[in-house]
Amino acid sequence: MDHDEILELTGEKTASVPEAVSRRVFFKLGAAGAAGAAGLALARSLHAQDKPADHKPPAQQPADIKTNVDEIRAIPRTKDSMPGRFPGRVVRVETGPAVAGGKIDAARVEKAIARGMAELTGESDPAKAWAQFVTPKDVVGIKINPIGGKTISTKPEVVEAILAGLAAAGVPKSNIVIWDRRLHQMPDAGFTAERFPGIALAGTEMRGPNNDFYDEAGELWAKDNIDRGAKFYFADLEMPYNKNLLAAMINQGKESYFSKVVTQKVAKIINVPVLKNSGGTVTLCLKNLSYGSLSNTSRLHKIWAKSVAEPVGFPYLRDKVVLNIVDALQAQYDKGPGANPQFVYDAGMMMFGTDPVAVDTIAHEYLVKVRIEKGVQQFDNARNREFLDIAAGLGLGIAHREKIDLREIALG
Amino acid sequence: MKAAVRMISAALAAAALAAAPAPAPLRQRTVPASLLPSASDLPAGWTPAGPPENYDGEGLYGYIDGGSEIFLQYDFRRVEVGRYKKNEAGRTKDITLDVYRMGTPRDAFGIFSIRREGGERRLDLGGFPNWTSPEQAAFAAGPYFLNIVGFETTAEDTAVFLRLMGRRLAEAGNRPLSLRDEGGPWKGLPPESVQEDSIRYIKGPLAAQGESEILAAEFWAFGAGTEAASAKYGPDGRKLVLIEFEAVPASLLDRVRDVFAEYLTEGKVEDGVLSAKNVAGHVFFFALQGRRAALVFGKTDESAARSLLQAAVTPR
Repeated sequence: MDHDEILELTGEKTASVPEAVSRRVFFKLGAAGAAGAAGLALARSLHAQDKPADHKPPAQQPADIKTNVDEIRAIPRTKDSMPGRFPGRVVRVETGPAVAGGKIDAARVEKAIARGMAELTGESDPAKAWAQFVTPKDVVGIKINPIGGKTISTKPEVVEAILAGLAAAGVPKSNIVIWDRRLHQMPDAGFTAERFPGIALAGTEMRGPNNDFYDEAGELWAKDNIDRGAKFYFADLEMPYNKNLLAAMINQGKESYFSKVVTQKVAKIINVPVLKNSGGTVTLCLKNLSYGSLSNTSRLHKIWAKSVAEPVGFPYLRDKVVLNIVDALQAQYDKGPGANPQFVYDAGMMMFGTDPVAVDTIAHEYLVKVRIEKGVQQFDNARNREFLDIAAGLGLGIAHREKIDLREIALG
Repeated sequence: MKAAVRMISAALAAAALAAAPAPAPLRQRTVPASLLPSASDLPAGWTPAGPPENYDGEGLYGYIDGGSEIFLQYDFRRVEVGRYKKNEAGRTKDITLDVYRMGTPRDAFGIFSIRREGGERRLDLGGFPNWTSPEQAAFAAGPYFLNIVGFETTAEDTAVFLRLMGRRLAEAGNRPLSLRDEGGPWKGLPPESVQEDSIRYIKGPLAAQGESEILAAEFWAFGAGTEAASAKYGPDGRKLVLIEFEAVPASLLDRVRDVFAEYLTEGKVEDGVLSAKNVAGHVFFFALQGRRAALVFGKTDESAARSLLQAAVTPR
């Protein structure tokens, strides 16, 4: 499919932002109209005396910051390009008591994944279901999120169940890589060589044998883990990094390079993010891929929506991510994305889809509802969905809720 | 109506006379090289689980990535991270201590305050505001914000570390920030029926958005001269956000009205007060008086919300 076909398929090509409630009819001046108008006029005239002023010259707005996203639109799509085999299809499995107080029922997780995969693919045979996405010859990367440590990271039990699925499809252990941007954070989340024998654990940022990010010559151990020869994500902003931060960013300047894990090492990627909030939205499939695969990301937080969505349009992600499996056995509804246990709860849920935009859209809707119920948010602010619209505009998936085929399953 | 006009005028006059409170200067004090406990200082059975880590300035991204943004808006300087473990009954308990050094005691209180809801369990910690739970505890002491995160821990485990760090911070000369003595937007919070342990100091745009999506728009200028304080009130927990402007943004009421119009329903304007409801039936009231604005919202009746709004914009 070419780009236009994908846009047509997802419906994003002709989509327009729904009109907000008419502002002219919203404020009713009814019986209190005259007094109300007078009161408001009074308030206006009074606060006008305060010499209304903007405090500083307007800061450069995210929309004004140029990126090289247009370059990637021209790159031909492949049969595996997002939104993948099932555009707009999202399977949500209520796992029941798969988790209680942080304890995972691995058998129930495995069952949830089997049910989710069957519903997503239409194949009840796990081997056939998984074989829709991988072949025994593929090097498969499993992208986890370990930044929340033991509190709120991808659960090892989820990855173990995925490994069972890959094994059923004939993928040998030697062809599997569990990876994240930060190798050193993986053990704390339970991803160790002891627990996953025969499976490679990889990262971009890393400490060397001296347990430091820098070698004796002052060079970053990770400097060759980013692919400076591949296409990179350009954004016209930068910030200076000190030595500590550079260890986590690998390079500074206006270019963010992709990890060699995605450009060279793996042929297929299974994305396994964990459900957390970031302000009034989610940090999930798209963010786990973009910020998890790039160097030099600190500066990108200033253009959060763009930088979450646009890098996923590069072929290293767009054409390799074949499946998204959301670990929402536990989720965090507030003060994310950093781990804050008081806002972590047993959500008992997993989500499945090849379309990361649709999955994030459903997750956004779900988490905003939770946040409103918990009283930490009052309404869904359209600006919090901007990253979804950007991703949809790149043809990476479907962001229109009414076009998403949500299938819900509750385990007994 | 005339009474309302007199009230508004009086409020404006008082607000005009009130100078913007200056941040308290940071006292010089001797600070130990590390505030983390050494192995010999640890509670019984606990041992270090690796060397301490240090992150400063924007290096915080290397530790908590996107979580750094809000800390930086509260003038984050550096953090020491200590990890500890304890084997008990075949399980390994973990504690991570984050000792954040913020710019001022106000900043430390601010970042502490926005991460509590109010109503959490507290300990007597020499006046340091704090809260604790089985898997997390936190407090503010001088310019320091302490965050304790546990895994497989009990309320007693986190409490032991909370007391330990409270003693260490006090011995290092840190004192609680007195909201009564320290100037700040919280001074304008009406005291009647306030839930004191819910008081928050709102400094930057992310904390403001965390209070309400209504405050997410850039025109509020949080981080560029605008600050706020918030608190919950009464048994229903209706929330008041009291906003203090360095300079009132142009056409503020119109802009707020537009935000109300976009996301809320049943909008009204009456006596300079904007009101509306959200889909869950929660009420919203907004008023501007001089350089101070008040936003009240929650699952409460309109009269209670309106009374709180009026109290918030009435000079004391």
